[in-house]
Amino acid sequence: MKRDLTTTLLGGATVVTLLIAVGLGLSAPLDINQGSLVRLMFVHVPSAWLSYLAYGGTGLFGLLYLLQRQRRWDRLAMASAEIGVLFTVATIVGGMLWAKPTWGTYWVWDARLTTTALSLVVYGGYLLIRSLIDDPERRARVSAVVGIVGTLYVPVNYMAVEWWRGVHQTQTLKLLGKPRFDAAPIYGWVLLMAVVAFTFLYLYMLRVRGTLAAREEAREERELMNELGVSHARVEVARG
Amino acid sequence: MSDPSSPLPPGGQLGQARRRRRSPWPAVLGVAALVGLTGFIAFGNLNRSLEYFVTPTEYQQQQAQLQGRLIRIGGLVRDVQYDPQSLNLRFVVSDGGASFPVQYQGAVSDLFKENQGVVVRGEFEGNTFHASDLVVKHSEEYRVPKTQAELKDLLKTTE
Repeated sequence: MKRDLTTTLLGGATVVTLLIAVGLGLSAPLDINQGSLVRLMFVHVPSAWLSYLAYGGTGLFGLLYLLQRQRRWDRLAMASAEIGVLFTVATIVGGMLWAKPTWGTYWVWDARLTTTALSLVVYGGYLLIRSLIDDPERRARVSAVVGIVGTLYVPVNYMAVEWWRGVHQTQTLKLLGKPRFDAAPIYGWVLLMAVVAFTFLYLYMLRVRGTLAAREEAREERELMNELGVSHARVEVARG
Repeated sequence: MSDPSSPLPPGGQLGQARRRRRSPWPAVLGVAALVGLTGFIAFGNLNRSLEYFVTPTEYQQQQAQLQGRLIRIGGLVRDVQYDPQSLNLRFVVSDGGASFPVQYQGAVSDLFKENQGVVVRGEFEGNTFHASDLVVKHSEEYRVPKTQAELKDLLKTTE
């Protein structure tokens, strides 16, 4: 297997930043109301960030595919959508574990949670559509459009706590209006480190999954060529 | 060779055979199901809207429509009376404008206290709201203990 320096570097950066984030998170003082439960935020917020990043990536790579018609953009869009679904599930599971001891229930159908669940429908649908189309060019074209439209989920989900009343808290880092961080500064540093770590994690996973997809595609092409070659040879024999 | 309209020799061109024609109906039904599910999740809840709960003031204004229906009310907790033995909880939910007495039976989250945000689901019996579900909201602000007294308090509760 060919060694790839970028992948190794991304993996290394992920491990180092994750370790720093874990160290910072475990040494940070506890929240005055929630105690150690506040640490769930250090996992919940970065995984939500990663899922936004990944869905944004699916839209961006889909757009790049439509502009340049290069298959590698389509592979990255698919890889990004898979990562997005994975980390949406991680966000939901982490959030449920946090909700039970604080809200008193695992799940409520408020706007933020409902739209998050809907993203699984949207991107589950995206991956389903991909599996239904055989022609690679057509598959790339159709899923690029779905991926671009699906990106709408990110702003709607982010703003859901502002637009509709619900149970989920509003943003701690306020970016609308005057920027403000409504928590102890140490929590800000932990979150920043964790977000950096999860960003590296995304890039790393995207690269690994993209490489895998490229190899799968190459193998399929090769097999198809071989089959064609064999059948051609048979035809030649039959004619001969 | 790649022209699909040309007559193919038997056994040749496996690549073309892979492309099957599909009926569009499964895809159409799938999309319709997704749209339907979306609509159901978005509007199929108790209040027939994307808002999760009504405030006490809104309830007072729309009392005629909402009376006798299963609803959610959200507001701040006042005048808590809790019996840990019988798990019988009485409090008042208020938004400053209007307030209603609430009765609930069961354990509540540790964050439940005076002035905490809360969403209760149930219906009115007389003037008292009988809640079957109680969800505690918490603030998006997180802070660490600043004084020794706060720290001791925190240690005591986390033990």
